Amino acid sequence: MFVTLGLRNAWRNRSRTALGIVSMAIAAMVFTSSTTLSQGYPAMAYFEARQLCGSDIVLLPGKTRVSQEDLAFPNIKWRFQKASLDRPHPLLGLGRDRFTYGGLEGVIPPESRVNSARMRDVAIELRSRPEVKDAHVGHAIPVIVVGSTFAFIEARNVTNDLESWRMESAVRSGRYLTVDDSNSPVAVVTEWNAAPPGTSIRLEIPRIHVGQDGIKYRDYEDSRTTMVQVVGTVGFREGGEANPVGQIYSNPSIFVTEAFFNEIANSLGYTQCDTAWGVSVTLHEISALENFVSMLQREYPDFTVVSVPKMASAYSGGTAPSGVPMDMRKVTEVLSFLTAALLSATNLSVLMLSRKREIGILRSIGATRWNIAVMVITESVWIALIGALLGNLISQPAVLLNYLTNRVGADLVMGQVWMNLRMSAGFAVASAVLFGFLPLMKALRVTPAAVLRGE
Amino acid sequence: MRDGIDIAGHGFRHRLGTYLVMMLLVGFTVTGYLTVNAYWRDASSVALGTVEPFNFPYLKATVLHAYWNNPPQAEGDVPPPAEYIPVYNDAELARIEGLTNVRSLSVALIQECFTKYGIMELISIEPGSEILGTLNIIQGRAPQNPEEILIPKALYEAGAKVGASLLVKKATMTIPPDYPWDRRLKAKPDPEPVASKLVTGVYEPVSPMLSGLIGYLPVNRVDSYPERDPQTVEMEWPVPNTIYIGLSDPAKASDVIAYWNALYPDMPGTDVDIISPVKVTWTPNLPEETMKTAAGQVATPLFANTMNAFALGAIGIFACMFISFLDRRRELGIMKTVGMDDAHTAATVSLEVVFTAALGTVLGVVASLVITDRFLKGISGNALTIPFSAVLTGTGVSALIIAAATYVPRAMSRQGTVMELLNNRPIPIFRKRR
Repeated sequence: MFVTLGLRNAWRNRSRTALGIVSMAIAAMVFTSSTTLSQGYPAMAYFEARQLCGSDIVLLPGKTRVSQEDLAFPNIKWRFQKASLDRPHPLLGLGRDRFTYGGLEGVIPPESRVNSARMRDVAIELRSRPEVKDAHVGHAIPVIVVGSTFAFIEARNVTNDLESWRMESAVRSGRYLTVDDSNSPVAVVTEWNAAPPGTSIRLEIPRIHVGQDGIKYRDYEDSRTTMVQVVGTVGFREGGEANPVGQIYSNPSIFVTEAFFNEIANSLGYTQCDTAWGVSVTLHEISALENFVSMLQREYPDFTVVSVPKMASAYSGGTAPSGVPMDMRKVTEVLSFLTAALLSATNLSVLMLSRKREIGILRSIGATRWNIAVMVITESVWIALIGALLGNLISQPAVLLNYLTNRVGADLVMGQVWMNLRMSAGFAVASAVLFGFLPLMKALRVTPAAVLRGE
Repeated sequence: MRDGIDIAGHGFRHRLGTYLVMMLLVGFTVTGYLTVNAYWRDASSVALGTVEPFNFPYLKATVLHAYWNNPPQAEGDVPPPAEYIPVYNDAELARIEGLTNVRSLSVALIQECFTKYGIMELISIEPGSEILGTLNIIQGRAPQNPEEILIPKALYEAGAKVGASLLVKKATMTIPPDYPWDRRLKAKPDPEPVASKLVTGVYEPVSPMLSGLIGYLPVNRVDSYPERDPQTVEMEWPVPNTIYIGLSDPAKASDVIAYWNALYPDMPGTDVDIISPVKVTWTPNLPEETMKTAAGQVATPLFANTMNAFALGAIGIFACMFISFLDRRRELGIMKTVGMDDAHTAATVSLEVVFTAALGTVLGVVASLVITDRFLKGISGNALTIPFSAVLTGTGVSALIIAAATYVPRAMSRQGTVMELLNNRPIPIFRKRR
């Protein structure tokens, strides 16, 4: 009976109950969103940027962004300088200020510097992980195109491009590279270069020359001219070609097959070390991409680990990438639940005060303290539970979109939904019981005599 | 007053549970603030300790095409700019040079170029510029005509020789297809995209802001520009694109940027990526500032949560005080009936809060000292320290929050009449005085 009474009381004070439910719903939304959505993206998020880079995650040697781990590593000296165009990589188009104006670059001691062998080892290690579909060392060479325009030729894994990145959808004219192109001197250019298919472009490719100081330089005085036939152009517009207002992701790059790239590199005496720019990682699905990136940032402190969607988001005018892998989600979740619980407690306290007489009468006709406690806690838990369920219902579609588009399997999706429900309902009930304690104490202090005396 | 203290003491003991919650809330927020503050200080000190300073007392501004405009956009997207102001004429440059804290002004043209030693900047500086005199030339002499260059020490060590020639292939600008840029602004192309330059000397760069090949630039200054809304704005080559502003006091570089912005209110900086970009933010303390920002990013989420905690504390204290007030309004009514005036009633309520807040603050400070000393380490790996100034700030902020959170219950206990208090009638927070 006292459970029913608690529910009736909640219904009688609908406005205050609604306030409590809304606050709990917000807390549950914050919880569900921060535990689920901030980890990753729906399958097609920033797809064009990922197409351009041919990967979901890029591991660049050295340090180009300050992270918490870097600050704890005093051997890195940070110097403001321009990134060298002699070492281009696919993120150049997404983070071009560093190449144009400069930024802080971490200067790592020589003994900790990453070389191509380390990149290869990391790629092999990453390939063995179940989340990783493909990991390979990326290679590029800067070139002068026709007159004196800068570009770089990039070795593309054609099979991966066609299977994982559906590169044919990015073709604006002509065709994309095929496996049959193999060693043929053909290329696909990005919109940046704008050479129409069927034409040949002249590339001046610098040879490597070792200076008297023992450092390898790209010698643009001693370059080899190579003619490459353009077979197609590719464009990477957010939302596809049909979206006229979408952000264009672009790079001054010339895509060639790995075989043709190796032929050029070998003929000019380039070693793997001279052309490797970093490790390119493709995941099976990206519903927990940022979590994976955070993990890699901790595991490979000698690299700058960048999530391509995050770079693309910054490029599109979204939040600038902080590069600080600090997980504050739990603090936010606890705080939001505390706020909601406190609001509920305040609500209940005010209700208890206005219901003093009613409680006194209940006590005088035989209700025990336990009965009163059941009544108060039922009301508090009822409000919290409805709020948590409502918050979950509101945020669940986004969570489902994130998971279902990534085809992560029905069991995982159901598991995640169940976990969200369980956790938010659990937190809500726990905080309702905990914070219902104060109003409960007030209610239990009410004696029939005091009420009858009119106190 | 003594009576007030006694009544407050009684009230405190009677509602110990409520005040305990309030005290914990104050303690929690103060602990949060002090811990975050200590963490941020540590991160900041580490960050600034690892960054290499510029040692370059100049403010560098990039101004492509020589004309200010407000701001350039893709042609057809927006109405034409209100006006184009030619900067590279004597009068305009003299205005910039006349700004407070500006010691000198040097004009340059910076181009990316392909060389035997990779891609680097060719910085062609106007003859007679003050900045040329600051170059640390260790061999040879400065260039005296457009065919000569000075090379950085690294190139000399790599094998470049004084007296030899260096082939320089100047890169034309590659513009991404999505760049909004003002197509009216045109510069005639470099008539000599590939040039052989005679190396006349070697210098040791002191800053990455001036570290490429140093060339000689006979600046093509503009005397005047007759049209203010032209279809095209074109200038003969060479078109400068950079101004180095020598500062009397580098620490006050931001003042010069402010004066500069006031001088050209239409144009400085835009949020969009544009060509031509206007960058007047390369200050002598840029690395430190950048690093401070990066370190700030470590602590920003923490600060946001501290603010949440303060807000939570404020809501909690308000809730506690309000409930306490509602609970005792009859008691306050009786006190007023027996002669206690409004001020004393409010003071009694306030005394309870002050006592609780003081206890909470002490608890918070002690807790934060224990936490930072025993349980936490900074990014640097060292124990965190809480400076006295942070304790003072934390106490001040918590006092402010308590004052704000207790305003309503305090005002109600002060304003409430005996009848309102005794008969549970609504009490206005503001009452019109007769």
